[in-house]
Amino acid sequence: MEQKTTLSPLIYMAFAMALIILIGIVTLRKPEYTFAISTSETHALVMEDQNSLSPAESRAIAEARTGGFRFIDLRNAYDFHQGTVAGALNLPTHSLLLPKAFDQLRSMDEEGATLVLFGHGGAAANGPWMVLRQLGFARVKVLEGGYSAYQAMLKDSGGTQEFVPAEMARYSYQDVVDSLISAAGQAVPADREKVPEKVVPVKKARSSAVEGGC
Amino acid sequence: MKITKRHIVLAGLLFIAGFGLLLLPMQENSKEISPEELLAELNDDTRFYTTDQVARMIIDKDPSFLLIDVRSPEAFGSFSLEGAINLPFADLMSPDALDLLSDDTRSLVLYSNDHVLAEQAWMLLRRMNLTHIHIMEGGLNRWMETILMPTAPGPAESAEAHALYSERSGARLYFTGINPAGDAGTAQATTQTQQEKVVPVKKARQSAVEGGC
Repeated sequence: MEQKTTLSPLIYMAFAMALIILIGIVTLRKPEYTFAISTSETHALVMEDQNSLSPAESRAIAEARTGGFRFIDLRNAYDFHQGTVAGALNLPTHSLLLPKAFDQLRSMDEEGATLVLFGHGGAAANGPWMVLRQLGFARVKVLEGGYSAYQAMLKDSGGTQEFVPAEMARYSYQDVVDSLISAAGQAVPADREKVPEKVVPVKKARSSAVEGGC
Repeated sequence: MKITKRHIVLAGLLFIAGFGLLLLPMQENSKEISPEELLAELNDDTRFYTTDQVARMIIDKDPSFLLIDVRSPEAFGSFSLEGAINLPFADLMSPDALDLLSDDTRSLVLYSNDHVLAEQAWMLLRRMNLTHIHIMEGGLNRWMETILMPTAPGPAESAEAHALYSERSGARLYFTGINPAGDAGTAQATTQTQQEKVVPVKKARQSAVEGGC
């Protein structure tokens, strides 16, 4: 009996120590990167809608070498060497969180530069943009339309093509259906089908026109 | 009963364990995935479904998918995909929306006009470690281009291109009830089935039929 009472507290103490060490390990394990803002903060931030530069704005900034902006080309090195925005730095998407690339981003951010991200198309920079915003980068923008839109703008010297921003409905369903109906029975020229302008929902106008017809 | 040393130690142990519990809320974020994982997901295209895959799901009435339209209620009201429900991006973080989104018995397919807005929603949900969320690549703009207005392949193009075109023409017939492509033979043959197939697509019908009076 005497032996038991002296021994078991030791066992309990050992258990307690093990527990404390375990808690310590769990809480001390510090991940390399942590999200600086919560999901709901990110949600609010995404809706602010001041996150992009049009190709024309980007060109003006890039060609004037305006301080305070750094273009980041998220495409691979091959595409980067084929041509890129003047003064851009090549950091492919997958490499962004490797220590070397991240240190570069961090130091540019600390110098007060605004990072302008772009990939191939309009959506390519969207994900990386959200990752960097969530990691606490406050000045990050996206080049609207990506490098393909930028290149199209450079080639189109007359300014004839109008740039269509992301998330704009390019077609009205009603117009598409109308053009299909009118083309029914004969082959449709591929170009004619495209409705260039965003069209305000035609539904109401249409229904009144039909009512009037009877 | 006499309070022994053993009781004190036991109580102390419970106290320490309780203290550990107190620290647990700090670890709440561990449900989230790390920034590295999130970035890695971006290099993987499995989050995308093509418009052709989505068209197939709708036509097959595949019960394991739910289409979610993240555009505004007005945009949803003027045109949406068959069977889609509207969950505007602005309401994404509301408790009701999160309830719906965390139900992983079905795959959810988000869409918007392009896939930028849908992908932003996906990024937020993916960070919360929801794995059954997908995106319709190219959004409704590509839907219109590929499903409703497919471009006919030239005679020199591959058999796959022709097969894809005929699949898309079938899908267009299903969704609009119209078959404007010059395949005269099949157009005649399908007019019978066209009548019944058309029923669910109200918007297309209204203007076409009413205009005729």
